[in-house]
Parts: sequence; C-alpha cells; structure tokens
Amino acid sequence: MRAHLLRRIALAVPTLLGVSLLVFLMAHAGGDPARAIAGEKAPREVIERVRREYGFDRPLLMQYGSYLRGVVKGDFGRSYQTGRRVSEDLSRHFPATVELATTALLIAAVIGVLAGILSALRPRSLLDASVMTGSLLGVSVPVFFLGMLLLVLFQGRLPGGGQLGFASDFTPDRTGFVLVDAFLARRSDVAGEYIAHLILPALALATIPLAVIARLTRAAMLEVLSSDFVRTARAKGLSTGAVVMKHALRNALVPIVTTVGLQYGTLLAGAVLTETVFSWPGIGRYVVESISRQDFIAMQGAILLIAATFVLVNLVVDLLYGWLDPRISRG
Amino acid sequence: MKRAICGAVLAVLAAGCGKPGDPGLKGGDTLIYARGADSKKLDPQAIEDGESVNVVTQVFDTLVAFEAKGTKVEPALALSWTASPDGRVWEFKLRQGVRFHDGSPFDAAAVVANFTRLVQAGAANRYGMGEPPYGFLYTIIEKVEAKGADAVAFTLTAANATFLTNLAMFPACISSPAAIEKWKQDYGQHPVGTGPFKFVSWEPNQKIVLEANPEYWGGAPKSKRLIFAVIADNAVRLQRLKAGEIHIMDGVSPSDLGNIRSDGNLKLLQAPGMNFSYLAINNDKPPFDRPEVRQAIARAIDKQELIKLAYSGVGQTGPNPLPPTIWGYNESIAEYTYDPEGAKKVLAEAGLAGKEIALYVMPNPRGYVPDPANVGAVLKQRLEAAGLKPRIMSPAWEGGVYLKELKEGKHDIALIGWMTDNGDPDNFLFTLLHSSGIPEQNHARYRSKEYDTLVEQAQIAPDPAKRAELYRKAQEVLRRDTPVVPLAYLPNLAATRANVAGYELHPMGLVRLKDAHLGP
Repeated sequence: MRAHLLRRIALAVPTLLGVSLLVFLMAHAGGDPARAIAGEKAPREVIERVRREYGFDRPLLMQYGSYLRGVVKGDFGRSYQTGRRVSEDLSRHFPATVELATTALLIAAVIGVLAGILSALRPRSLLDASVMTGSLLGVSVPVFFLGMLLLVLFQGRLPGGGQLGFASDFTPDRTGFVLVDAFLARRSDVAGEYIAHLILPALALATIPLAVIARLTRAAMLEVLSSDFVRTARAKGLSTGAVVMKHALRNALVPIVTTVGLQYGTLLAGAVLTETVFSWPGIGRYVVESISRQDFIAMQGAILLIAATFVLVNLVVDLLYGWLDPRISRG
Repeated sequence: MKRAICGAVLAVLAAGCGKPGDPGLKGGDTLIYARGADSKKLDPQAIEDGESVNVVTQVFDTLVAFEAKGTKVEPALALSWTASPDGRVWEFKLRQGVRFHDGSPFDAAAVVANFTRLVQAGAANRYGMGEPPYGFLYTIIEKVEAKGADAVAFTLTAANATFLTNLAMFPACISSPAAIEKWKQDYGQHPVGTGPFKFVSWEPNQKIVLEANPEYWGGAPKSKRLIFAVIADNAVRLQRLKAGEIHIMDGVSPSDLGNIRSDGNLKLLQAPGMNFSYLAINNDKPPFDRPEVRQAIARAIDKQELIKLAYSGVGQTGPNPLPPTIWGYNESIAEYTYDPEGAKKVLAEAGLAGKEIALYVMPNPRGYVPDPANVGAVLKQRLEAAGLKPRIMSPAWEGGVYLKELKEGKHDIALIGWMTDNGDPDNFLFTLLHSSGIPEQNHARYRSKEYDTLVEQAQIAPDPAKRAELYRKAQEVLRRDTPVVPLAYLPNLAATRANVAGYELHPMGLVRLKDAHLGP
C-alpha cells in the first residue's frame, strides 16, 4: 500500500513539471506581455524599458527557471496587471471554485447514482428510457447555453450569479470558504443567501457529471446484477434492497467512485465556463480574466493550481480504489 | 460522511443568531455601480484602464479638474495658478486645510513627492510600480519645487498648451505620500487620496467598497457607501439592474436601448461622447498615396446606412477626425457626399477595379465601435459596389496582434478609433496624424509638412483662440488630403434605476459619483 502511494506521488511530480512547462511556453508563444503591461497607448521606448525591467528579453528557458524556483518556494510572483501576489489571488479565488464544484459534485453524485440504480433495476422501462435520454441531453448541452437558459428562466425569481449580494458586508476572512466562515461567524443569513446564489451555477455545472455518473452507474449495476453471486444472494432469499445495497452496489462502486473522482477534476476545469456565465468569482474566471489581460504570470499560477488539484484528486481516487478493492493495491 | 455533511449544512442553517446587514447603514445609503470588469490597480500613476480610472476618480483629487460638463479646467486642490510669459514656469497656489484620508496633511511637499514619482525614472518612491503608463504625458516637466507650504512651481522643458489639461487627468491625482511609504509595492491595493470617497475594501473580481469622506472640501457626498461591482456580461448586468440588485450600470449595448427605454423602473442616460471610429487608409501604398483615390473611398461609403445598420442608429457622422464635442472642431467643413458611381469611376481609373485589398476589422468590440463585425460587413458591401474586392482581416486584438500589423503597414484600409485622454484637440489631431506618430498611432501613415507645422504651432500657442484657429485650419488640410475617413462619433451611454439622482454623464466619459444617490 505504501509503495503504491509513493509510486503515485512520484508520478505526480513529472506530470506537474510537464504542465508548468507547457503552460509557460503557451503563455509566451502568443502576444507581447511588455505591450500588455505598458498599455496600448505607450510609446515604443516605454515598451522596451518594460521588456528589460521584467526580464522578457532573457532566453525563455532562463525565465522558466526563475519562475520555477519561485513556485517551489511558494512564490507565484506578482500579477503584471494588478501588482497583487498571485498566491494571494489564488487563495481568494480558489475557495469559491471548490465550493461550487463540490456542490455540483454532490448534486451530480447523489442524483446520478440514484438514477443509475433505478434505471438498472428496471432496464428498458419508461423510467430507464427517460433517465438515459435525460443524461444524453445533459452530456450534450453546452454549459454556457444551459447557464444562460437557467439565468433567463430564473433571474429575478431566484438570486442568480455573484457570490453574495453586492451590498453584503460579510467577507470570508477566516478560511476563505464562505459557507465555512458564515458557519463559524454564526451568520445564517449569509449562508442562506450564499446557498441561494450557489444553486443555479451548481446546477448548470452538475449536468454533465450527473449524466456521466448516471449512465455509468446503470452499466455497472446491470453488469453486477447479472453476475452469479447476485443470483446466489437472491436464491438465498435476501430481499431486493439487501441484494442491491449490500452486494451489488458495493461491487459496482469501484468504477463509480473512479468516475465521480475524475469528474471532480473535470468540474474544476469546467467551472471556467460556468463561472464566466454566472460571474462567479472563482479560479475559472480568474483564468479567463488573466488571459484577456495578457497577465501570463497570473494565468500560469492559476492553471498550475488547477492541474495540481486535478492530480491530487486523481491520487485520492486511486487510494480510495485500493481501499474499496484491495486486489488493486496488491497487484 | 454523508451524515456529517448534512449535519454541517443544518448547523449553518440553524445558526440563527446572525445579525443581517451592516448596523450603521440604511438600505438607501448604499449606491451600487456595476461594470464589466474589475479595476486592475488603484494607484493613479500605475493605471491606464477605464475600470481603474473610474474608481480612482472617486478617491482622489487633482490640482485642477475638468468642469462638470466640459473639458475646461477649474480649480480643485489648486486654488489659482499663473504661467510665466514664456509659458515654461507654472506656479500653483494650493488649497489649505485639506487632509488625506489617512489624516496626513495635503501640502506642497505632497505635490512634489507625487510628481517626482510620476516623472523621475527610478524615483525612490516608485516601489516596483514600474513605468507609469501615462508618464509620457508629463515628461515635459523638468522640475517641480515647493514654494513654501502652500505653493508649487513647475518648470517645463518647453512651453506646452496641454500641460494644464494633463494636470486634470488621473495620472496627476495626488496620493498621500505617507500611504505610499507605508504600503510600498502594495499601494495599488490601498489607495489614499483626498477625494469624496475613502477606500474601504476590495474583493478582486467581485467588488470594491468605498465610504463617504464627510470632511471632503467640496462638500460631503450624497451616498454613505459606494460599491463598484463586477458583472462581466452586458446582458446579465442589465438583468440585474432590472431586478434592482444594482443601481447604475455602464457598458450598455446599443441593441438594448429599446429594452431599457420601455422599462419604467429604469432611466437611460445618453450624452455626446469624445470618441470616434474611422478608416485609416494606408497612405504609403499606391494608389492610396493619392488624395483623390482616398476621397473616392470616402464617397463610396453611405455613412447614414452604416450608422443605422452597424451602430444601432446611435451616433453621429462628420468629416473631421475628432468629435464635435471637442473645442476647435471645424463646423464649416462639408461632409463627403455618398456617390458610389463617381467613386467607382475614380477607383477604376486608379487601377483598383476588381483588385483585392486588405480591409482590417478588429474581431472584438471597442468602446468606439460596439459591433465591428457588422461595420466590416457593411463596408465590404459598399466597397464591392465601388468595384474593389476587399478581404476582411481580423487578427486578434488581445496580445496586440491587430495593432502590430497596423504598425507594420499590412493594411490597405483599417477600422480603428480613439477615445480622448484629456479632451484636447491635440490628443486627436497631433497624436493620430502628425508624421512623428508613424508607425505608432498614425495608422494612416500620413505625412504632410503643412499639417505638421499647424498642429505643432497649436501645441505651443498659449492663447486658446489662436489654438482653435490653427486646429480649424489643420482640419481643412485634412479634408483636402483625406488621409482617414471618419465614420461615427458615439454617445456615452449608461442605465440607472429610475430613482437614482445626482448622476450625469460627462462628455469625456469621467464617472463622478459624489452627488449620486438613491432618491425615494
């Protein structure tokens, strides 16, 4: 088990290095950061001076090297555009994304697994057909379209978009997670308002993973339900509930947990679109803002953080996997 | 696990002793202004984007300020001023008894510290600010010195008529030197000025909160608290204005005008602006080096149709490359008449019949052209009718590719525009068309000794009437040479809740919220 863990962690390092190099090169491939910093109306001499001041005239690999040295020490540099520390920005924006993605995942996992099980119990029934059609729609509808649709339908009826009402005086200054901080500060009004704001974007974000999870749960359950040990369990006279929950589900859980885990990573990345549509102040919007401002150092930090989270989530999934099915870690 | 999560959610919902809202404020005390993007920094010297400028305007003062509805300057932190006969030495008498929001006094030393920071390369109090993006406007300041506690003197390298107007611009805002020393590299997140509002807090990409400065020398603001909120999407912002969650929004899409006018809870603000969009014809590329060919391009375009189809019917047209709101605009110059047949003939004679030309159209909206794709489509059709074969080129605006290709002169004709910095005609006529602007802002690559001399003289003439006369002459030269074809001057637009009072649009696009408040 420990060797398995160490091997997985060791593999994460080159992955992250690769991501950081790729993002760095992509960021420097297009555009001219010196012009973006100096501004559209700046004369050429000023742009040249900025280029020297920021070291953009040095070879790319050297620039990458000094960036990496900083990152290792936890210093992601200062944003070219705002002058704020990127690490400070990330710690402000990341919690909002985590709260959004986690809520979306909860919605997707609970409804998805339930729908999948129900479908599998009555294959080819009307219920099954509607779950499968619904999930096909869920996978196919682009998030930005669905988000807009939700906004048009519910705007004004539900508070939508934005983290909290703008006039709110509450700042999440303990952990950065609004729900947690509201709980710590015993501010139920804030928590309630926050949840109300969270619902629409979380729903929009949840559709794709929900659909994927439902379809996969159905397939896994169908397979398990037709296996010999389930027939044996039934033959022993166990109730359907016991068969499904104790025997079948436990065995179908391995692929389901994997999918749910992997979906979490996808949710963090997919949040880019949802956050833009709903003005959600998370890491996804931060990435979009940084790109449109040519703020490469901010963009690099944010993408690196998303990648690291993705790798971490995968690692946790792998470990869970081993726990659910001991054969894997031994193998 | 699941039980633990449910428990936590319930506990949050049950934590019933929270006190809602801020105890000291009533609902009507807070005014919420929403825009499409966040500010970058709030250090007046380190910024250039409108979203930063709009917040800075509330927190800071300048020595002189633009008048409420125009571009003339009037006293602000300076009460009066005199210029030496040669126009090189300017002395300002300062307002006394003013304090910065941190309690430190505003005096001559503060003014000197601010301008040293602005113009002196490597000044000690820059603290990593880098090069001020608008510093180039102030490089004519040779030195600035205190004359006692309440007077300062500026010495310029040469007389320059735009010096005073540039002092009213945002880079010349006066910061608390003590606050700059305190926050150093982080001053951009902790601005301290003398303005009507004090900075309170900033949640990036979310909101900036300001509170009224009751001690303000110009009288206390009408709203106790002012919030600059970020709502990226124009349509969503309008939705939230309709829902009453915000009170003022900028970035109104011209296509939403009808929707706003028909909503009784909303009010549309519209005022002539100081921007324009135009076609920069590449004067270096034959046969566009000949004025009659360029004039034919102007005559091939139906500007009224263009305004209707591509500018949602808002905006004006005219023959001059500066908007009519700027003083010195020459009213007596005739607009080009739409004459497709005549234009076609001239263009054919110039060998352009059926010839492919590169028509540059930016891919995304700019303040002066809300729908460039449509402008491109209308232009293409009209130029085709005149016998040309325009090929639309739309390299990315972000990353500066579009401007880079213009600077390299790759265009035959390019759609481009300008928004005023300081409300001075110099900012259009010199910046965009003086030969020294090639290849930077002079995208038409227009070179004329006669024109250059006129706008150079206007730049140093001390008498405004004389300057206006020189600019009017310069516009006549432009009408004759037609290096560019002006397309449209757009109004400034904003929408507010119907009960917002005390807010008017400024022609320069300045956002001043001191008197804005929610009425009954």
